[in-house]
Amino acid sequence: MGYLSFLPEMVILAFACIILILDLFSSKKNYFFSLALIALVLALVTIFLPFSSNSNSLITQMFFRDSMAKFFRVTFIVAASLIILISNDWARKSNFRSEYYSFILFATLGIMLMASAGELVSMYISLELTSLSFYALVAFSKGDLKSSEAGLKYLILGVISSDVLLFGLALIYGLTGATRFSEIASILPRTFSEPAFLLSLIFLVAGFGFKIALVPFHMWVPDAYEGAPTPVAAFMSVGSKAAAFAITIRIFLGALAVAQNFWSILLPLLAVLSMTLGNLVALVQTNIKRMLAYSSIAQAGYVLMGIAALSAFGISGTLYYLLAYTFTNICAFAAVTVFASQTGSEEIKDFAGLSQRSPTLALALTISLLSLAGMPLFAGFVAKFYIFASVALQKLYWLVAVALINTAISLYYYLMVVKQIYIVPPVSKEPILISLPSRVALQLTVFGILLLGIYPGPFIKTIGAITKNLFIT
Amino acid sequence: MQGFPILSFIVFTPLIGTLLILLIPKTEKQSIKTIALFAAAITLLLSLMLYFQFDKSNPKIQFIEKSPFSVGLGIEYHLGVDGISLPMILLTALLTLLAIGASWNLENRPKGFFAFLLLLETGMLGVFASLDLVLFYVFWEMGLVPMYFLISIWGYERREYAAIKFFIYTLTGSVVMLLGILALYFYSSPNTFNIATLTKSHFPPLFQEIVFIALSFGFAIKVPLFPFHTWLPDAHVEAPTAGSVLLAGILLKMGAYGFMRISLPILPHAFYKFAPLIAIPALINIVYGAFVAMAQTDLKKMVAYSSVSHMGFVMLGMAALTSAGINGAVLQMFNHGVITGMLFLLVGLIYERTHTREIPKMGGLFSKVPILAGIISFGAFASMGLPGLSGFTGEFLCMIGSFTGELPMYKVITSIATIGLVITATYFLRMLQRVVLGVLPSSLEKMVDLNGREVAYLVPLIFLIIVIGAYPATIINLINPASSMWLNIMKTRVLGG
Repeated sequence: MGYLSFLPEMVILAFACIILILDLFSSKKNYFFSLALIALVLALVTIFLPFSSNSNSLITQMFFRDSMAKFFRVTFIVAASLIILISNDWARKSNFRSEYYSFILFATLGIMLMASAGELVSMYISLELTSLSFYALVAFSKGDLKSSEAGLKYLILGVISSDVLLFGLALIYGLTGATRFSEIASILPRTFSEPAFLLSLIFLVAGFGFKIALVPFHMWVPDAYEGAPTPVAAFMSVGSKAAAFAITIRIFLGALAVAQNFWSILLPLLAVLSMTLGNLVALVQTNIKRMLAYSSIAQAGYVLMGIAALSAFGISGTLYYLLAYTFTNICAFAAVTVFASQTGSEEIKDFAGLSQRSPTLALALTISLLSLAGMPLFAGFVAKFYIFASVALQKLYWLVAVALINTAISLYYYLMVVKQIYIVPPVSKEPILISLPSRVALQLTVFGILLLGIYPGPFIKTIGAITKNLFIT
Repeated sequence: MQGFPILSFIVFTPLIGTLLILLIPKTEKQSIKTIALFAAAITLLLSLMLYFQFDKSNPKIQFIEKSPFSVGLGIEYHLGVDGISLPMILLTALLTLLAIGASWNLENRPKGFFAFLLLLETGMLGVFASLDLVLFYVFWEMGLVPMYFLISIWGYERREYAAIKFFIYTLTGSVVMLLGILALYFYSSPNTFNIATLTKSHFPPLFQEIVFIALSFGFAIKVPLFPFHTWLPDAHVEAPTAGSVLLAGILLKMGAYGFMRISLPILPHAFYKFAPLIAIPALINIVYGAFVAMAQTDLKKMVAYSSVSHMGFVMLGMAALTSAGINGAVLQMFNHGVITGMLFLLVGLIYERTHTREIPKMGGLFSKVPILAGIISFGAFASMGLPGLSGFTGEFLCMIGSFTGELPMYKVITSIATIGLVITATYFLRMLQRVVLGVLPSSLEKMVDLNGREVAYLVPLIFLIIVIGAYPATIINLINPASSMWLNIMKTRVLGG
């Protein structure tokens, strides 16, 4: 019974549909929030139930049920729960609450399937499920022109990139006649001489580059993040990015590992471009969501370094980074959500004197920003250290040096926000109140940041066990 | 005292203080200050206990603590002290306590101030106690954020500029240092961050040189060694008194300590080769720093530049690679912490009373505030190296050490460095003449002398200056076994044996 190992996905799907249907029959809208949370908690519980996945049914051939898939599925469910917690303030004002929560659940389903996809078709379908949910979510603030603009922009660019990716996948299929990653890997060496193979690599890199938001495929990111409702931007920055990284790991280090010589040169290059451009442009942003958007482009560059290391150690670093980044970035976005929902502003200068208006919010935002910058004691430091160490192990010292310089640059703009929070006197003294769900989300994420930053041992061990089996070099 | 992790208690008592302070509402100013004072006092008491239990004749690292838990990635929780780090730990514990005493009347957001001050203390103590490179780095960086806030919130007029300059400078240095640490890890076999294990490994010369340059970048900025010193005057002048005291007293020592703890034992070949290249900027520090100090009209800036000059002696003594030189360097680190710490405290006291730091606007303090003026004169004499006071012993040992250095160039360098001594005497005497002597300006008619609390936190420093000046062996006996051992190990490894 391989189907039972998909119980978490089924639970989420069922609840997403139930929420939509219930909306038709009930005039009260306030329980969708709890329903969505229950769905995720149930899904989380069912992941840990010991269902065997050894059966040879069609579906278990389409999706991996390995420990890496489990890692990502757990991470995504936790991330989605945090997103739902911080969505409450915002969604309460919306007339389309049920649609919002069910789209969040659909997106969660999409990224969970993406991270476990084992062949090209299921991968593409889950990727489209994710993308379509996010197109709708980005444009969700209906009255807001910026949100609509962002949604349209994201839709058009997203569809084009999906096509590019699809074309690349089609070429791979045309060359090998296989869709499963393991089969592709065994047939692929016969096709190295084909020009179409190189073409397909280029398409794949461009397609994934768009989903991960690497430079030069990053143009949509700042607009989409700025226009999207803040919790959605948070979810995009951690969820769809991490899922795209999961697929990238599976395809490039699984299916295309034999063609390493063809693509391995591209990764350090894209990593350097992303972090450098992301950090430099982030320096001059005045809107905090745009700043976080550029910072997320830079962060993607650091993560890519872990893959560029082409080692189990590097992949462990990547996974750790994604985990740390999930907590850190959701924490930052949660603080911005709370701030924006009360003051209506997302300008960095309006964060002035936040420490006097809400010490808790100020501390949480500061911790998340310092963690993004990679200061010790916070998750970001261990994550950066992990990745840099893996790259240094491959003797790519120049790449580490570039990344370290970038870290120093990035600290400046994070620090400028911290300066506003603590040093610049406030314009208005009006205190900022944090609702209970947001407070819980902030506390959980700050706890996660500190735990991953101070006591990383158990996590590193778990992740090490995941990647050990992944790699055969 | 087997089993009692005294070092961990020393390092983390201030952190517990920080957490307690964070739990108290910010209106409870008195309890915040009391907690800060207690945390720092307990830390000092524990450090004194450490000092009395420390086996002074043993050159090896003592009080080793290792966590049985793995942190992961080869990082270990690993602490220990020897004769080089112990004086620094004592100095840190003492100066932090005095800095808290000096900030007792702070009214502007005391909660954050004392929380950051204690967090900073944990960072500084951790640097001196850690035996794992990553732990060292973590503590090193941990001091950065609190210091940034101390300067930028509680500093003077140009505080934001000074704070960000300090931050960017030190951070750039430390990320390059991190690169060197990573290189050490991956070049060692088995891979380790353990400083004690790394000292036993033999790295190829070229590799040592590259790593040495990377590490030195971080250390030299912190010392600061010419030409990386430009952040120092800004940061020192704009920082609040407690911040200046800890910056000059401890943070600068972290750089020199890094050279001694990491570069010298782990990279002996590179250290031996590059030592003359450290001696020259050190000489520039001494002479140039003194000249620039002489040109200042701002009292605090003058003391800041005198720090540049005095840290030059530390580096010169170390670079000479003689036993006297290295002993002198550590002793000078300790003495400079005490003396300059006191001078910054005094500048703070003067500013509180006169609301100016401009030397020309002062005068005749001796007639109005004899105790304050007397202590200023005492501090100035100690700093210019009057025999009998502690400043003399450190500098003298550094000079002897460097004069007996192997290369002939050291004799020349030492001779030129004596110019620095003369100029130091000149600017301090000129300062005394214009501030302590002369005519009291009418604006200072209402000045009041030191009260009991203020005298109380200056007395320990005065005591130390006299005791070490009269009997330097109190500290040197501590330093000598460890420093001689490292020097011998290094020389046998470089020159063969």
